[in-house]
Amino acid sequence: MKEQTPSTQNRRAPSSTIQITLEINGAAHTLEIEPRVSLLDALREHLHLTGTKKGCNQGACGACTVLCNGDRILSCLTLAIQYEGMEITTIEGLGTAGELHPLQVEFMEQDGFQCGYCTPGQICSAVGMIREFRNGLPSAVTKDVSARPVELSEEEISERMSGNLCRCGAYLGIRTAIRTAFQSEVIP
Amino acid sequence: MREFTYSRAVTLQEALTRIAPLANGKFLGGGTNLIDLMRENIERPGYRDRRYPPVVRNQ
Repeated sequence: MKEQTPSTQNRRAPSSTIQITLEINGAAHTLEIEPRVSLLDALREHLHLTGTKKGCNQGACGACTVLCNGDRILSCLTLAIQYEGMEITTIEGLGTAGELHPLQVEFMEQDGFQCGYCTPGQICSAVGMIREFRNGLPSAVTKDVSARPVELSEEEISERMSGNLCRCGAYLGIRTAIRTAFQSEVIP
Repeated sequence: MREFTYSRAVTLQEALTRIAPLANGKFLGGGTNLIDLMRENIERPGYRDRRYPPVVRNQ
């Protein structure tokens, strides 16, 4: 390893951690972290909530999608410190092994995955997407943005879920799972 | 990602007051494209590059 020159050492700011409290899946977690720790790394490395996945770590794949106050966010592009005082929901908070979320049930029923790596992000994203749709938020393919879209069409689902990539290509099953769960009207 | 300090401002005035004395402070808000650029060392808030002297602001 190359020896550091004194000037290089002087340039380094001292490592400083701060104490923050995050509310995740209804429970408060206090952790000592540096400000540069992403929400994704705080979840996975510090709190060991490994349901949220790290795909690209640059906001392109959607695998790290979690919900913040009900809105879907990319946890890899955010600092954990930004989320103090907000309600974070991860895949662990949506359903349990004994009591699955309706979307989890449909992803299994409709073969909405192959390897499953993108699935937690897909499901969190779909929960946020359905909330946006119900709130009347238009998408890029909504024909009349002044009118509330009445139908969550295949095209609407494709567009609204376009931030979540699936390298296995299980998109047909993913869309079917989301449409079926949405139509069953059991999603909270 | 290089180290930095983080400060949350609630009002516009507070944000401006806090960033004023900093040589290379950056705003992080809704829609900003900062953290991914920081990860690649394209943006380096709070870090003074040795090629350039630190910015000294007139008070």
